Amino acid sequence: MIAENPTKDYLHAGHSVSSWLGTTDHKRIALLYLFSITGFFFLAAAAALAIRIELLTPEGDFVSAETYNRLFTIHGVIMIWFFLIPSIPTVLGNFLLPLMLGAKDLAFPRLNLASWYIFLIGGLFTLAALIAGGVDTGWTFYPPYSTHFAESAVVLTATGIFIAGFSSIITGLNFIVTIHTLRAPGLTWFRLPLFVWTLYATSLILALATPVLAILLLLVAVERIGGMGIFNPLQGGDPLLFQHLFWFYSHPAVYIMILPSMGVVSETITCFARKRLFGYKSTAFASLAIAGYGFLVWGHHMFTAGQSAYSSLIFSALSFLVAIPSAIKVFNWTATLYKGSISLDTPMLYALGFIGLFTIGGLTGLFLAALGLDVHIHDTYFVVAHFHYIMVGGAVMGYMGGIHFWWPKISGRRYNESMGRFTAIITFVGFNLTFFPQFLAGYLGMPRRYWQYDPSFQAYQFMSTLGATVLGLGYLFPLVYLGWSFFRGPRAGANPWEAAGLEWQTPSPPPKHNFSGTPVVNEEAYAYPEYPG
Amino acid sequence: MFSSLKAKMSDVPSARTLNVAGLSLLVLLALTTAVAYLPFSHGKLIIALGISWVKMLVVALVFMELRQAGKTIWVFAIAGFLWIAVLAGLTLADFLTRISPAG
Amino acid sequence: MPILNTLDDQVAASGAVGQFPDRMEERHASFMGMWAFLATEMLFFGALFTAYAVYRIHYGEAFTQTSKVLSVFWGAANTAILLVSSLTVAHAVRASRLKRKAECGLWLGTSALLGLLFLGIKIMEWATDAREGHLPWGSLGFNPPGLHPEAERIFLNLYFIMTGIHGLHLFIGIGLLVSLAVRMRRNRLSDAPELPVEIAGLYWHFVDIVWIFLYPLFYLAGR
Repeated sequence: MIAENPTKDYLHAGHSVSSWLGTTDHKRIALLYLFSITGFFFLAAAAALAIRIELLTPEGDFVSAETYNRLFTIHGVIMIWFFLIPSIPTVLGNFLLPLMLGAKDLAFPRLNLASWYIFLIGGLFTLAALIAGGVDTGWTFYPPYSTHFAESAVVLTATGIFIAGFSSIITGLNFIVTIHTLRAPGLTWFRLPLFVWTLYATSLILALATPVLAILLLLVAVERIGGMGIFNPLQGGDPLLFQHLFWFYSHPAVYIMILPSMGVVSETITCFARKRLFGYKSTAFASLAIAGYGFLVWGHHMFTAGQSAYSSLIFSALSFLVAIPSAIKVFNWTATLYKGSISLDTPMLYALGFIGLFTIGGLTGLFLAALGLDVHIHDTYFVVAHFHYIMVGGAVMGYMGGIHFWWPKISGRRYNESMGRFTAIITFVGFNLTFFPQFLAGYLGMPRRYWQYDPSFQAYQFMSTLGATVLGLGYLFPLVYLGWSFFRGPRAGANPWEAAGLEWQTPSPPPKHNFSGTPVVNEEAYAYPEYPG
Repeated sequence: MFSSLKAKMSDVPSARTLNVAGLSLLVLLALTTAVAYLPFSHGKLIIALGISWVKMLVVALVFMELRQAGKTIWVFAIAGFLWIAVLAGLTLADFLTRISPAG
Repeated sequence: MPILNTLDDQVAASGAVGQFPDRMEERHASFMGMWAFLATEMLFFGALFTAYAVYRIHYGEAFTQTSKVLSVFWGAANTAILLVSSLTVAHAVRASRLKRKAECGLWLGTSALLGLLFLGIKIMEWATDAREGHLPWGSLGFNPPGLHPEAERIFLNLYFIMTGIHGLHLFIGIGLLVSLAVRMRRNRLSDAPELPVEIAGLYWHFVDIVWIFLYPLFYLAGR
């Protein structure tokens, strides 16, 4: 049993504000990010609440149409760029990567801190945009509306996202170099936890896709300010060029959001089924395949935009294939559960929820990839339901599962397990109540981003809002019990879950330099049958 | 894996190699400019880009020492190109296959 | 059964550099980091080159003829300046590896000066364009040089944006070189001064390569 020394752990090594705001310790930076993205999450959730209240009735009676546009735009912008994309990589990734590798810190700790400040500055610009009245273009910023007609804080928002993008790129580069160079002796690539593989794949996307978004936002700003015309048909430009460049980033971006969650699921499923992962190598390669292949399918967002028919055909075919590596992963997780010794602790409940909801989300993606069918359901609530199943049912559940799983390591405390399980269940129930009706409404023809709608859809929207209330509780409760446990929860030992992985071989919370020496690894990942219990 | 880096620290390029590379770049620049003024009209873009590629290779292989770099760095460099090719290729696939009444 | 054995901190005693076991690892990581960053920069510029390709193919000659408003002389001169500056930076790297700090500082300074010369010429070119009414923006009195104002507008827009962003990158590079030269002169760099010079060098060469492609695409397009 490794003895704890509360005076030396990273939480207590230095109490001043500057020791936190000037830290280069990856664990503290992870907490700084946790604090920031949680704030952004609830801001975007508030926008969602307003949206759901408006949609209780078919008439537009809660907010004006203009305001409604700004609400769904700010919900999308903040959720995507200031919550989902950073979430697991900057919180769990930053905290765990060096620990999982047996290293003292990331390859470039000062860059890591810089990336948080850059993130904050980007966030501040976006908040400024919010105060200036927000933006009404949709998170997708399509020109020529965004460049020539929108009378909202487009440039401010674009600047905020542009800046935050650099934070992403830096994090991605840091992770890539860290994984290449700071693995402990004996920790070969195929002994790495799968969470590390997914972080690597995610970092590839962060590095290669984000720059295209950055340049695009720059072009939008220049066009808006200077009347450039590169995307304006009246000046000889082509709005579809924007969409190509936009979705070249934004489609891989969705894999940035889901891959780390998949990594969390691999970690938790193995721990709570007490079993090695079925198909370690295929899962690892599938992660890379998702990242690489995910760059080839972006045109499926543009089937009805005016893209050439041949191009649409190609993208449709490619989009069907991208489902395969994800399917391989789902199969492997399921096979890992088979004949495992399963305990339904909170992280496991989230992981199981992930598998179910991600599968539904992924399968409905196939509906959308089918060219002919997409013509009917594009820009309807079907799409909204599809991506929320993946982003919320998948990515956020993975995030919550990961937070709960590693909470004892991060905080040194246990949270209330009953509260955790209860919350996981109501999250699952609330989520399905919120978003399943949206599939139906969308399929029956209700368009998305509409502030008022045909009364025939009201039953679905009503149910959806009801579900959203329950779902909201699922996010509020952890704020309370996790927050409480941070200060008052029972102390956790180094390895309360009896999990495999280097991060569990050091005290909870870890000392500032992670390990008291350099670990040497001589075993495969997830060596579970050898663990007691 | 690090042998390429070990070679690097004691591997000082000769001044002559650098100067020859620099001179060849200037010669290639003269070539590029001259070709632009030749009296034929087709294929100049390809030639110009081709010469640019050669210049780039000189800078990358000699000045940036890509020749002596390890596998990982080669993968990063090639990945950049590959991704640009995907971006440009699939985007142009749309623009090149459009059928419009105005042509 | 424990899955790991811990070593004594002999690694730390042997000159660990923070989270790296030794200087060699730190070098390895720094090079990897810069090359990875350059890959991201390739995508950054790559998006712009894609936009160029789209419009060049779409507009054909109307697009390329616009290049005639640019001066091949100054474009070629600038290209030569940058190519020479890559040479001088390479010499700076060489000097830093030979631990000749004074010589290295001189090469860095020369390279920075060449960079400034490039920027000076660029600004002069832009001023000329402004005077001749080739700025395709708003109320700046755009005077289309040819018969197809739309294509010409887009060509010029791309020209200013791409050379502008390139110039910004060059400016950052100049700053890097100057700060390195100053630190080297004041002996503020460690006994391993070559690493920051090499890393900055990689960045500089990349910026040069971008220009190597910008030159024919914009200056020689319509010849």
